[in-house]
Amino acid sequence: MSAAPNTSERIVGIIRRDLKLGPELELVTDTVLFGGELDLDSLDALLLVQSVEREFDIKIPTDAIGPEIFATLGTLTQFVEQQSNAQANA
Amino acid sequence: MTSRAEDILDSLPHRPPFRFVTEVVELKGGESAKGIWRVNGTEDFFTGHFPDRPVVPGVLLGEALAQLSGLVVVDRLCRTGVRPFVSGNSTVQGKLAHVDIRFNDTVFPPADILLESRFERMLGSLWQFDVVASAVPNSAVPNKVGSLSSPLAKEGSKKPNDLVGSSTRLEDRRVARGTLTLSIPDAVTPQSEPAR
Repeated sequence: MSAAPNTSERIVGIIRRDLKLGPELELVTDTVLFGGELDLDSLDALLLVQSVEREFDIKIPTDAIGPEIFATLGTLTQFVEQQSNAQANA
Repeated sequence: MTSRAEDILDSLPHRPPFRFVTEVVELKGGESAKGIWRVNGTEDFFTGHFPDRPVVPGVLLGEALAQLSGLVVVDRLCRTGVRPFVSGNSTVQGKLAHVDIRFNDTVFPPADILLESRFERMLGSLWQFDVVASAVPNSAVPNKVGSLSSPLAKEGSKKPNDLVGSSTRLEDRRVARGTLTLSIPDAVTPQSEPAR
């Protein structure tokens, strides 16, 4: 039996699904979300936030959405884990 | 419909035959709106959609929900004082940026379609809304401002500038639900909560 996907793998799954990316594009911790190969725009970010909220059953405050969180796949993963833990303990 | 509701509706740039909000039923705190789109079966698009079997196009349900969401934008901007509201003029020019709506059922004319939109969040010039459309019996919606049962409704007291009338419960049939995003590039993004 395979292990359950971790946070990063789940976010990668969302990005691949929402942006309709093929499996050939490598997504790693250091992958830049804005301005890099992915080159997300603000609408992508808004829809990604929505998908992440649904996937992890968390609420992301709008004022928390900024370039620091969306810098790389790693920073986004770290933020989602922090939010998940904080809201689970609330 | 009250004069304020008519003024708000006229603030939409859309005009017949491409206006799909017949009546504004409720505007609440720059956060949500309810409206009615009445279809009687004589509208031009039913000629082709479909011959001998008129069906309200799903894409027009989405357009109607987008137009109602535009009214939430206008109401919110008015309340924040970011952009003055001018009766009869189109003060806000926006465009539809994204639609994610699931259509659950078919609407046959004649029908009153209850449209509901609730502001969800804003990111830059993008305004995101949760939206619902429900088909109700053709004569069930009152011709006055009314407080309708709503799957989007949040608890809250009536505010002075809100359009909320008598309580009326409707047995509705949800036909569409989802989110949509409007791009309002000309508006200064109000970061603060709207004035009540």
